[in-house]
Amino acid sequence: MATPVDRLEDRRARKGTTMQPHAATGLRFVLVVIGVIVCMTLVRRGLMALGMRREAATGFSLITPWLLGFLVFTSFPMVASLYLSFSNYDIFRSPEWIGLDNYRRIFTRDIDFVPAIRITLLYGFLSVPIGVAGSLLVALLLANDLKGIGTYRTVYYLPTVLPEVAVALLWRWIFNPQAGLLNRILLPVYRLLGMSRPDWFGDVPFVLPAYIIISLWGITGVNMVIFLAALKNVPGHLYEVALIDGAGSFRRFRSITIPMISPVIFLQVVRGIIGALQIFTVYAFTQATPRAGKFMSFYIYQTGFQQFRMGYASALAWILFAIILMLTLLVLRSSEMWVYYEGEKK
Amino acid sequence: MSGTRKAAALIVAAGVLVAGALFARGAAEEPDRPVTVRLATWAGASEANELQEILDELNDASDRYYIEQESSPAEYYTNLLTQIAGGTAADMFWLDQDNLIDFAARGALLDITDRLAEDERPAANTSAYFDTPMERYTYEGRVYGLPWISMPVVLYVNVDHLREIGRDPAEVNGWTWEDFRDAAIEFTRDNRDRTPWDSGFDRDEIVRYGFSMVPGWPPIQQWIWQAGGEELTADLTSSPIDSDEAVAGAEFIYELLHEYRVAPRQSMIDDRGFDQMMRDGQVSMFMGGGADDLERNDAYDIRAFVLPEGPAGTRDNWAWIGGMSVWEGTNHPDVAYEAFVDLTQAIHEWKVPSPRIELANEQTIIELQPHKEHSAASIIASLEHMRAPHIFPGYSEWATVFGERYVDPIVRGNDLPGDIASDVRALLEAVLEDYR
Repeated sequence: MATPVDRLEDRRARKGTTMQPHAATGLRFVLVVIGVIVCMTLVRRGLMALGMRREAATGFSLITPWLLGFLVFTSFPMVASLYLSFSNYDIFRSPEWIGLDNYRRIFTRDIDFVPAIRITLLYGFLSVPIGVAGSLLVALLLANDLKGIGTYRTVYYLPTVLPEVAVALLWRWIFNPQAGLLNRILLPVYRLLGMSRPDWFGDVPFVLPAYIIISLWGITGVNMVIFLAALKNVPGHLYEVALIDGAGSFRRFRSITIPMISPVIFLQVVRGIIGALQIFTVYAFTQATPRAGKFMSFYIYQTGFQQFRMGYASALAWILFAIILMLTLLVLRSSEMWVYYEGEKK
Repeated sequence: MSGTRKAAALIVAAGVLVAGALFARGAAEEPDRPVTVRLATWAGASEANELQEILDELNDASDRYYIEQESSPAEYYTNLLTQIAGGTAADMFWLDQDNLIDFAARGALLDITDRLAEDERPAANTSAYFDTPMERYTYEGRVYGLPWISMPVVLYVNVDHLREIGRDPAEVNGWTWEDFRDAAIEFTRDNRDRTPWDSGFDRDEIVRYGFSMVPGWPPIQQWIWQAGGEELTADLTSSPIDSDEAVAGAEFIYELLHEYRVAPRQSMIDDRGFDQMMRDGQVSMFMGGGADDLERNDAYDIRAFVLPEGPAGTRDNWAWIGGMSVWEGTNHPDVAYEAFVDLTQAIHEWKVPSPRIELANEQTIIELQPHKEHSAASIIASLEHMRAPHIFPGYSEWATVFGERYVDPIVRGNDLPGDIASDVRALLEAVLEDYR
């Protein structure tokens, strides 16, 4: 009679009748590496044949792997999704061209689109200024050269290393209507106002404030570090001169610090807008009531992957992309009025 | 030959050799060896281990196939969709009733109607199944999979709490909506042991809830059906949720949740765990699938009962049906089908309640799940009242509108069903019109 070990060996022997997944993956990996090397060689030889200098051709050859990755994993999906946005595509079957129907439906019949855009934009408009101002404030505090400031900077950076999902679950606990920390702290206020404890993710008026409070988490971490670096780069002699001239601390902050770090503020605003309008993970894990509107990224996911309407989801994604692009361009155009670049010729 | 060219040629040659070796290994298929059949499941760790034992036995017994399990409990359907779109899906996969029609209508599943007709294995006999589960694996008259579980929703009651409020477990299977409501209110206690009927009951300090419900579970359709209403007609042309009967069903839930506050808010359930609150004695009644293992509890005596009877005189419950299908794009349809039927048979002998009439009995349940000794009779009785929703290709969109526009405002919000039913009906019927 076969022992369990014999049976295990027998099972192992039975496997391998078709190509094993690891072998197939290994083969693909090898083929990709060969393909990339061939492309690099071809690029180098081709450019040199066209008369480019050897050094420059080698440079282009060396960036070929990145360019290939960009073309395959970024450009192609973007172009494909643009095409899909004009099609009826359910993932299983080939896309069917329907022209502007998806866009027409979004703007005329979609009952979820306007609430989704509204809550996404409101969240962006409120969380970005609060986030940028908060990061700057924390960075100003941490820019002081006090004893043990390195420890403080490390502590303030720590939240960044936590996974977004863990942070979402943590906030879900904080906002718990009965046992949550926030409602416990605010209980005297509720009693004073004669109201019962709100369900932050269940009561429509509280949903947006809840997400804006959660966004405060982003004040620390990378944003704060970027501001800290910018503050440290402001030349000290400017403050000395201002001090001699009798400028107070607020005046120095307004007339020296802000203009000198304005390129970084501009960067943070742009990054903030892009990040805020793409909020997804926190919403997906906190399950706020859809009566308050669903954030656009989640709505796109729901339409594409839960309802099999990938063409429609692509159209929604392109509208979100257009809104983000428009707001970014708006900030870019306005930057001429408030961003100061040292050494810039006017 | 220059040094660079030599190096490049050497790298390419080495790569070709490695690839060749791998190809050779892959191509060395021996015809007398079994074919590997990949199986995708949503099984979690413990379920996957139990399933693996079944697969090991099947693999040992077969010379034709070797089933390899690929379990992905998180984002199962997203993974499956991506794999199907990329042409790399498993040869067979688990599918529940909500998704089968969508997949079948879009050509992702192998039509097994003719194969089943010629197959004499017991699991292939479609007439041996209950009608409800078999209908859900059939689309436009063709069979695209076989169910392996047909789970009615039952009412789990904490019998210790029940006795505490002076009620007898023997009476629960005869409960009407009113009995259920009264018990839910009596079970619910604040931190001073007051019930919602007592003056001074503090809604903010409830320590034990009579019932538990979130948008989506238990399905509000059960109460609509028990009141004699419909959420979606069988001909898929209308969603009469504004009929008097359908509104009465939804209003019963509204009254229970908002006037008496017998259930915790969703945020609390999300944090403490839906069934965990029942296991911990923080909730006294819970509606769950007949296969849930709430009876495994050292602290409390928990048993399953049939659902309370509604005004229409029915105890209709929502059937959750799980099954399995073969991928249309499999390279080995014959072997995959053979493995599929063998595995279906094996799962029928593992999961309860079985969708097959002869296997769905009290004795089988007790043999396979001894902890269900006191629940088995009620689970079998619930099979008679099992109903499944009418599903069509586009059901997920319809269900999203129904869930977000009707159920969420009633369960989680504070909207009266009668106030919103007509508006939501129009939205639901617009979806039906799109898919007609």
